[in-house]
Amino acid sequence: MTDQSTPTGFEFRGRAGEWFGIWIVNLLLSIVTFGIYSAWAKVRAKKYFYQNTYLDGRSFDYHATGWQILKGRLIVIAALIVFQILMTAIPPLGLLLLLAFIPVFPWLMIRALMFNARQSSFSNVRFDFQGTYWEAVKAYLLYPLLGLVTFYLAMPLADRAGRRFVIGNHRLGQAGFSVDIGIAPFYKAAGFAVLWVIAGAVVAVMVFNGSAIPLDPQPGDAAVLKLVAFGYLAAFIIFLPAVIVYAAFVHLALYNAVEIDGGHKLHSTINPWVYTWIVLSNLCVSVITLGLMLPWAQVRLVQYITDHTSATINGSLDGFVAGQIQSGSALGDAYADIEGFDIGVPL
Amino acid sequence: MKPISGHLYRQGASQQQLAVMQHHANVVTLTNSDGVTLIRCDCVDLAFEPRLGQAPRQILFPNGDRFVTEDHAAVARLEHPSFAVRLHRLEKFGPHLIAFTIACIGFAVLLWRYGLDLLVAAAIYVTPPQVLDQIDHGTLAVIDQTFASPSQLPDPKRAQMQQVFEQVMAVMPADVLNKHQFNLQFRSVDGIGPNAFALPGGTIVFTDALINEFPDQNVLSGVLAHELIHVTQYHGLHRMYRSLGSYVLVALLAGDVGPILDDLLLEGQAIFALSYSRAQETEADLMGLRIAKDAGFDPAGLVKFFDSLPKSDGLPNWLSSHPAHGDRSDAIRQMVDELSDGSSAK
Repeated sequence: MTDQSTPTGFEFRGRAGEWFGIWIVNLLLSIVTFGIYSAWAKVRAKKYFYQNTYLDGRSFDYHATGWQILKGRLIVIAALIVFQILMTAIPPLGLLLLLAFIPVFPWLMIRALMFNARQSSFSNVRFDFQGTYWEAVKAYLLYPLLGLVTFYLAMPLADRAGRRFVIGNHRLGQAGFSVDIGIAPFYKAAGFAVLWVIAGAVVAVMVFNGSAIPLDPQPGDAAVLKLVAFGYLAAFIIFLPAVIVYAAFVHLALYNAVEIDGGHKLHSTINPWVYTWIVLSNLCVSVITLGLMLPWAQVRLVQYITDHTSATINGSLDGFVAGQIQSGSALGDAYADIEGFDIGVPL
Repeated sequence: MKPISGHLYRQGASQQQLAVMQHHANVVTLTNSDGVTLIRCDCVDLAFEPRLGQAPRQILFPNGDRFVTEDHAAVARLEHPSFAVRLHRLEKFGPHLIAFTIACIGFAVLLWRYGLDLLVAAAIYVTPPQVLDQIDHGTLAVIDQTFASPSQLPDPKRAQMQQVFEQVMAVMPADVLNKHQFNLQFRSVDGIGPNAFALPGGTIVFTDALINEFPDQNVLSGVLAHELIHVTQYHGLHRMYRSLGSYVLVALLAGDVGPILDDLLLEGQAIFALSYSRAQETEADLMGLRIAKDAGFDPAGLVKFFDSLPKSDGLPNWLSSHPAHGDRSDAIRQMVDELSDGSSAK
């Protein structure tokens, strides 16, 4: 029972050393089984982070089984192989299939979000996702298209649409989520990202003095390699941090805009610049140690986020009740895994 | 036995209540703080969620209710030994993890070096030949529509090349001829100069420029034999399945190795694929020589071909799909010498 006026903080009880042990065993078993165990590894990893995240003495949990994940992945991999062969054997048909895939994509994303939500729980009550196909078409196809045709000017608008689609359609049991957020924070975040790019470009030009970059590179020129190296450097020092700065400011704004039916509200006090620093230094440390410090880096980031996230609880968290749901197949989830999309409950 | 304290959650509800679990002669009883019995059931009907570090243990009752406790020692006494219990022991932080880390790196290298080849070989084994024919059909149709035009070769030159083809076919082993449908095609292709390529189903395409600039049968037979080896050794399929296989493997492990590092793995794989492709070219050069020689041609013809081309195309070797021409003619010359030494010793 918590007083309504004082927010209760989230808490993460995982430890880097402990997670390292689970992670390295996951990796080892995944490698020796040609990737088959990775389905069970995913479940253990999700469980570790969910079960160690607490709010008001209650933890999250993840309930999918390795078999479910494996089945979904096998179907997606089989489809990939068939598609690759068709693409080589009958290229026009391959292109047709690629076009035919466009309307399937939003459906797969809904399936992925739904599977993940229904396999996740907080305080013994499962989440749910109730986005409709048309909403997904808007969020994943139409808005990004609008962003592209406006030369990225409308991208923050598209991003907001995507976030609202994902968060606003989640439920905890029968209690819906809502996001009350204007467009301003998204453009503010994009503004900071653009500022970073401009500052980075100015510094880069001063350092390289323009002369080291060949304007008309010839194949075989050693300068081409220099140009490639410069491109990588620019990506890591200018564009990657800009993306993280954007994500950090959006994170802060979003977490202060989420409400859950019953009068519970989320708060975030992260400092976007500290967040950016943590993500960037995490990346560096992980790469330099060939991934061995990745578990430490992951715990460090989650620890920072949970330490700076809290909720105003209206009365108590005892009132959530499960809805009538079936988990469905892991097909969309497997697709998202293999294509590298990050799917998770928005908490 | 000592009672275990924790929280009870009724199925489908977030309400949390303090509860104590007691265990007597295979019967488990759950009571609340007032001593009222909440659940009673047989011990064998309990389901234990696998242990995961210090995260609270969860015990599921047959009716879907869930008991959560942090008393790890007590639950461990209740639980039967299983894979999950052993897994937790492996995961505990300790010096054995150093061995695991080294094993991880070792097995990853093995997987990369040999495991992928095994998967690729299995995939090639199960690929039906009809699919390969279809690949040839489709690819040739696309080539014709995009950058090739019909051959302008006069009939005598065509007939001459066809004869080289028949002569080489005559020395191919019967089982190879059974497995592949070899056929020779002529096309005029701008921009790729004197060139030839093989499609996985056995279609070999010669450009007009190659036949016009190198009328020598010893050169043509050498190039033809090289392309045939690409078919018989399934070089194209190897590359396709390899890139697909490594993409899927990296994707499956990506959650474990983290971002950036999985991109590095993919880029590394792309550069490795180039070295793989260079090795295939060398294999085709060397195995092809033997076929050309068996068919009665001078294997040194291929040397002549590469000597007439510029020594290098300007790219550093590691960024190139083919070995530099200079290196190739050196290697072929050496192989030709070995071949003729062998025959003179007979």
